[in-house]
Amino acid sequence: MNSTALAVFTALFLIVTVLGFAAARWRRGDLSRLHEWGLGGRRFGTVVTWFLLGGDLYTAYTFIAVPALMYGAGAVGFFAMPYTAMIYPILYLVFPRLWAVAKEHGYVTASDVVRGQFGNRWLALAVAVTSLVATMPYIALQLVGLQVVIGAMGVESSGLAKDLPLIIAFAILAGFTYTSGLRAPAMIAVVKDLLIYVVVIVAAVILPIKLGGLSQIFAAVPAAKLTLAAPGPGTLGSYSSYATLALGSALALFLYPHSLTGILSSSSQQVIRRNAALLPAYSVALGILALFGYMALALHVGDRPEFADGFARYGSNFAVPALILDVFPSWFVGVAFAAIGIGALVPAAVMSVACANIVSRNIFREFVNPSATDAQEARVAKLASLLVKAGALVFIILVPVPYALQFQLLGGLWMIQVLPSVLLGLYLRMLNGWALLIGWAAGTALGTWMAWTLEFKAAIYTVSIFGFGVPGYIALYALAANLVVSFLLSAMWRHFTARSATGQFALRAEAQS
Amino acid sequence: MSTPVKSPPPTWWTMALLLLPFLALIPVPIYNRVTPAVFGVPFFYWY
Repeated sequence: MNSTALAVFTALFLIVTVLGFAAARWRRGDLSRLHEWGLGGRRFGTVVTWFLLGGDLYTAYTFIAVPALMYGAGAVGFFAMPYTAMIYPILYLVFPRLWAVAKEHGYVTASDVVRGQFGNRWLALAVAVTSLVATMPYIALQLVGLQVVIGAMGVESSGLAKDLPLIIAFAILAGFTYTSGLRAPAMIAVVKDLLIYVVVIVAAVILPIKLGGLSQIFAAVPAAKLTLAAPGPGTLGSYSSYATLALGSALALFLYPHSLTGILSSSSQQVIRRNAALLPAYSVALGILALFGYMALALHVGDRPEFADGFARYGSNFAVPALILDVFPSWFVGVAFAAIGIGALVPAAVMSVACANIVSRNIFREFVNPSATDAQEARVAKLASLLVKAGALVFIILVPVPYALQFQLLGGLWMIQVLPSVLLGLYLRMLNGWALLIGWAAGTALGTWMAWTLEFKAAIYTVSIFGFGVPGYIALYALAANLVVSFLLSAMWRHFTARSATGQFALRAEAQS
Repeated sequence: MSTPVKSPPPTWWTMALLLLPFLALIPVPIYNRVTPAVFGVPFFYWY
């Protein structure tokens, strides 16, 4: 066991635990009201929103999985960079308007917006259920990142002792989220993000020097993995796979409830636009982190006997912890692992608050108790946040990680299906609520079927267009079907209701003449 | 508490800048190569 690293890790964890509970008094508000507990009273300015969204979007799983993908698969893992380059124009253009609509009407969730725009409670329920189902495996996967760093410090890896640190971490998370709501992860995100930047900057300086320069790092990567494989005849191959994966991921990201909660907690539209300009700093850090996967290759950490057990248990996810353990002194290992571990708590907290908002507002208030008071709403949300976290913990303890990954894959393709109703509904009056519901169902069914044909092991499906193979991200193909159905049915609805109205007008005119 | 402000639509050059990432990154063949490398970093990565 790496006692020094564990001591530093534990100390930093205790600091954020104190901060999490103290956050209840920060920017004091009535936490018995849902928008105060669940959205921080919509008071977060540019700086806090930057830390919160950055901490929320760039998760422990991101920092473990992206370099792991680079380590195992090469260039294709770098899709995270074009993906994160494309999200910010979308954030800048579309989400200030969503914020304004939510603020004006007191909406707390995407389902609220859809309910208000279309007056269709079933469409709103579809958005709510999709959001909940897509987020649950995402919460569970944050725990994978936490598990990997705890295991890397040599904590017991079998029996109850294996799960005990995770259970303790989650109990702490549950406690401060219950008492402080969104204020807790917002405050903790400051610590987490500062730690991440320190680790990335130090590693970005030290590692290339140790490895003999950047060219030596890239020289260690097999040539076939350094760039994407050129497509063969009759197919767009890796080109369409890569581009659609980046684009589809970018379109889906801010539809997730945890992303939207971070946005809706902002104090103004200008805060959102400013953050669209400032958040790319995190993408630069992610790009450097992605290259850690190649640095791990250059150091041959996979061949080291001291890391054999870690790679056996965690696969490529162990590449970054092994790299950090190999290069840095124990105290810095503790700092780096704490950054990753706390990086699991922040998004898990926001995800559970976001899910709790949905359960309270869009299921409890809509279907169980429409006359619920603000206090009742907030109480239900707090209870729901505990249940969501408990569910995620049970999920990751009992369900093998590959299944959690498959679930998360499905979650992504399901989440993007709410784009027409949540975002397009802000701009296009011609869309009809029932048409959107049918479109959502069509996209969800098609995407799930495509994933099933691939045994839920891949996200890329090849469609043949006039005999030409176009491998693409399942979510985008399903979204295309969703959009076609939604627009077609909406147009038909408008046509027939206009004809019906015209017919009735003609009948009235005839009756009056 | 601020009330929502109806913002003016973005200018054409703002839209052009916002579209740039999509135009530059979706056509993968543009950047799927090693050269020219900068400080040893292949083009695919520094692009």
